[in-house]
Amino acid sequence: MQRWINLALTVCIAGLTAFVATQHFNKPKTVYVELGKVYNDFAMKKELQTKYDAMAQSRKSILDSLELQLKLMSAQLQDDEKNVPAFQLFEAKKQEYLTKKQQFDEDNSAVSAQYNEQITKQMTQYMEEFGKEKNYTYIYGADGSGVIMHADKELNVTDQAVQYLNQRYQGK
Amino acid sequence: MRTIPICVLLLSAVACNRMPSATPAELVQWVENPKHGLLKQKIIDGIQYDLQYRPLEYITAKEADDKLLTTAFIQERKARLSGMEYYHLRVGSANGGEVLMANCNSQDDYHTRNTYLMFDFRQDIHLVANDDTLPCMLYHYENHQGLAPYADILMAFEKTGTAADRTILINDKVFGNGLIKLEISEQDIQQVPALIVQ
Repeated sequence: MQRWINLALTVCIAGLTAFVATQHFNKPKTVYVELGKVYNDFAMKKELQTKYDAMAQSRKSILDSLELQLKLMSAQLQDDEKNVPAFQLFEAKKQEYLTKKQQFDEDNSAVSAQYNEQITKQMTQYMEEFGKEKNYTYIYGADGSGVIMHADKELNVTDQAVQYLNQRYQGK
Repeated sequence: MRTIPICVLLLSAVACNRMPSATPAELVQWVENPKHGLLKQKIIDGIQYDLQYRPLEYITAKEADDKLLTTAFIQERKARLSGMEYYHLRVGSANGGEVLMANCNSQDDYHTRNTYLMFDFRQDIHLVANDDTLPCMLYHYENHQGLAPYADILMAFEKTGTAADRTILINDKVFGNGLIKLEISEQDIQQVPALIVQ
């Protein structure tokens, strides 16, 4: 009789252990990243930001130079209001400045949108690979918009994600 | 006592995962195995980029058609191919469709892409090693005319003087994925097995 009781107890304990283990390993692994930090620390974003800033700065220099010329011409015209050729030249320069400014503004916006799209595409892909490699069921993006009101700091994998994303971007 | 160095040697050989020598067919398989680091892959927005580093032994082995080669033949081919580093880039659609038609709005767009791949894409591909950025010296685009879901590009760069990891930079203007970087490490290149000769 005692033997049967022992056997039944052993089976129960083994079953319970198996159940607890299954529950533990099948539990969805949920983590979160700080989206702003991931985006800002992503190497591709930094590279493209530098490229964009250089382009925008060189365009700004061209516009500043045109603006200075316009200011000088305007000052000269105030002293000599009846100088028609100078006035016509001023108007032409003003038009050139306005056209260039509009062209640069439009192009800067288009380039910025294009870079953002490229960054988002690569970031999304590497994040998906990161999740698969680490066997995460969900990765939430905390962006301060209130979607995640509270999360345990231990579930924050931002630094690991940034490291993985940058390695993947560098082609490793 | 004498067995210790032998064991160490065996262990290091296993740890390095290096096949000391291989037949042409084995070498081709070895190089094309992504585990050995000479084939790098990336998928961005449904477009798959496969970069295959092509060591001289691999190119020679591909020409061998599974026959053992003579030392003279290998040396002759190596001498002819030396001075350059060879790569094969395959750009395909991850879902199997015609890659040039991916996110394409019209037939005109398709032809623009095709022309770009034929003539201008080479200017958007560079090799970076040791802070040197090298342009693509030899470029050949294989147009499959829609019969395969990918586009093949064979390219070669001038051989870098010093041993260093290589990064291939592809500025993808066709599919709008931006800068794609694929790295081939020098350590993996050093592991390429030697060809067994007749």
